[in-house]
Amino acid sequence: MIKRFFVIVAALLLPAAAAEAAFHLDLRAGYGRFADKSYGGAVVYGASLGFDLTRNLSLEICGTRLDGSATATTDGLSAGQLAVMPLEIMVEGRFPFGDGKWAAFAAFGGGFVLTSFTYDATAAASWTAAGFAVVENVQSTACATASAGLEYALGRTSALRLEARYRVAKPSGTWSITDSLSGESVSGTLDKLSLDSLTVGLVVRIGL
Amino acid sequence: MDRRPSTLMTSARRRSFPRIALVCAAAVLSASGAAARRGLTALPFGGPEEFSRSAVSPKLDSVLSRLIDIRNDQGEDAAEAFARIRKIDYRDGSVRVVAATDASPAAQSGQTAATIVRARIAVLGGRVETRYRNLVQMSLPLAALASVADDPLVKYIRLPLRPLKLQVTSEGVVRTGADLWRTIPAYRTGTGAKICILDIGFLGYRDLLGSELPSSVTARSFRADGDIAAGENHGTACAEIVHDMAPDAALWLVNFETDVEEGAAVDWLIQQGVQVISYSLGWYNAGAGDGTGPICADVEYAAGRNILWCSAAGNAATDHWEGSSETSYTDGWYNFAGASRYLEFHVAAYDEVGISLNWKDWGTWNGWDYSGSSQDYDLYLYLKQGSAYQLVDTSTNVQTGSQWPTEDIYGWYTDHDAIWAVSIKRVNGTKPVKLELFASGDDQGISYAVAAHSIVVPADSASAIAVGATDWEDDSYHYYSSQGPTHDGRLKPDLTAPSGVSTATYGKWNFYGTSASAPHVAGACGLLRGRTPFSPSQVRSLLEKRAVALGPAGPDDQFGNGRLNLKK
Repeated sequence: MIKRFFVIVAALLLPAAAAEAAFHLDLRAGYGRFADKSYGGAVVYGASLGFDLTRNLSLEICGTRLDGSATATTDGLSAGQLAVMPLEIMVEGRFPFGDGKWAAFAAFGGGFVLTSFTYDATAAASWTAAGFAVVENVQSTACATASAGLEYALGRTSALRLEARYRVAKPSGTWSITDSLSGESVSGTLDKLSLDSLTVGLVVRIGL
Repeated sequence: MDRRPSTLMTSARRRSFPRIALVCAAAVLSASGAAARRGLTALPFGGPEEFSRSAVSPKLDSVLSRLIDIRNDQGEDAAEAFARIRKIDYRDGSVRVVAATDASPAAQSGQTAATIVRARIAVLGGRVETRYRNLVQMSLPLAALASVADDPLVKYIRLPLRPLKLQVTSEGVVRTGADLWRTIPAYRTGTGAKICILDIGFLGYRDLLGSELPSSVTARSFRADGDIAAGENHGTACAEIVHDMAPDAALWLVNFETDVEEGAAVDWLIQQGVQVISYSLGWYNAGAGDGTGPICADVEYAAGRNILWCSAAGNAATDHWEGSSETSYTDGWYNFAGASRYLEFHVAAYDEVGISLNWKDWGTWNGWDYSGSSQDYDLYLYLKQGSAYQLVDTSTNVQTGSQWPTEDIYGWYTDHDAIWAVSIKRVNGTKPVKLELFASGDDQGISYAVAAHSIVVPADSASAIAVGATDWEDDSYHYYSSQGPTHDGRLKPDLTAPSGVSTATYGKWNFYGTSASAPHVAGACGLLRGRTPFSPSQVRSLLEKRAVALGPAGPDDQFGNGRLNLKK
């Protein structure tokens, strides 16, 4: 067991000079779902810029966007469009196997999730028509991310990856409804929001 | 003392009136009219000289004393005929009454006293129908009334108070903008609102399920006989309007007949989690008009548990008189406008006359009961025959310090249009008090009418949203809509809402009265409670601030804050 661990560490620490390129660009697209089923799921797309620390260990800066459509809940978000844009720094290890064309990889990291929520346009319009303003916000928050997958080398500096990524993000939010005619207003906080998400997609890695 | 309020007669009510009683009483009155034309003074159940003040017990309603006298002097048939006219539940020698037990701090708690009284009633052959706080509603042999009244734990025995429906004979969804809310989704609320229509009867409601009403409703009767229809479709029409205003609200249809039953109904509605009560009923002589009294206590109790209580303001603006007891008297008789002993009013054939007198000497309200009045006034009802006034009935309750300052006469009618009159006699007036009189049955307004302070109980409660009536077409004030302020000077009504609207229940007859207006506001409260997270007090404030101002600038005693408005 100890011997296997040292083999992995040694593989990760192989000099970067042995790699074909010091930088790489990942382009990813796929499908994601939130753990909270009231937010649905949609297409995920994003890009990463990686720097190879060693032959099998790299540092990556990732940007992704996941769009969801929220359905109304009484203690979560109302119906509307939810966009989650994580900016993450990941440390990735890859583990070649077989004839060298295949590799498994795993990454861990964290970052900051930018969020955007737009209250359902039709509902907002009907409230506005009656003299009410509904405002709902989701605050940006920190996230922790883990990913894993398989890589198939297409050439010396390019590869195709199948990746699964799970992200934990627990933002807070606020809501308010105000009657513009009477000035009456009621507001609250969204303390139980969960934007945890699982995304599955294809990644094209290009050496720079 | 007779505290049973008269009902505002309507065509629907008349249709439901038992034919046999109608024929019988009409015959009696026709006979008396004929007798008068012949110059005779004989009146049904005895002449004026026989209308003696209550001799049985000062703790007994005078109408009950009179019923006892008639049975003793003229027999069972005469007693039953009198009971039919006065709508007293008197069957097989037993009468339905309410005993108020002594709830004063010095005495035992009202609850305990009521329990003891309940046991004694059983011994006397009576049957307790229901009980609430210090009140026991029972059916008691007439012969046992005096014995129960003599019980030191019994403060007073009276007929059950009964609400009168506030329908003069109702479209306001578009006028108020409620139609715009059909496309507005609920925001941060779960299910739709729970609205109760608390009324006298829901005749025909089953026929409207799935069309004019939701496909299912919760219906429960708190009447002693459990009859949800109760021969009355007033509640059904009100429910229709609530459903028109708030189509996704769940409805509770609950009826009752007496003040005691209403208390039990309110307790149950709180347990049911009802959020809004639509109340198109009103009471005369059931409180001091300053937000106190047993019916207002029900409203306060419900409001304390987050229920919005939308109460019809009343249809009494032209049926209300008030004056100072300091005005001149002649031989103890009050002079209306300083000139006439008689206050006259016109009543159409077969419409019932109802007169309720009270004076502002109710004493202190302790949350259960008033301490009572030591000023004593009596009420006399006359039928005008040419230029003569023929005495028909009296209410001569004895006020010696612990009784309510009220007198009532109701139930009389004639088979022809007639002028009726009332007089007020001062029996024991040692200090100036304000006298107040409500009439029902009249169709042209009473002489010397005073619109101010004509808000009926419980719309005078600070916790009730009192709703006046305006026309659904042009927002004009409906002449009958009761006006404020309350007797302690607070603004009432709080809002006005459309009246004269269409309902399936009344068909070609538009639904007029503050009875039609209150369900519009209840529906609006339901929309806001069901679709927004605003608190009950915020909903009330929102509706008052959004109201379309009518009449003079600022809130006023006719329109309150203005007409209900859900539009931008």
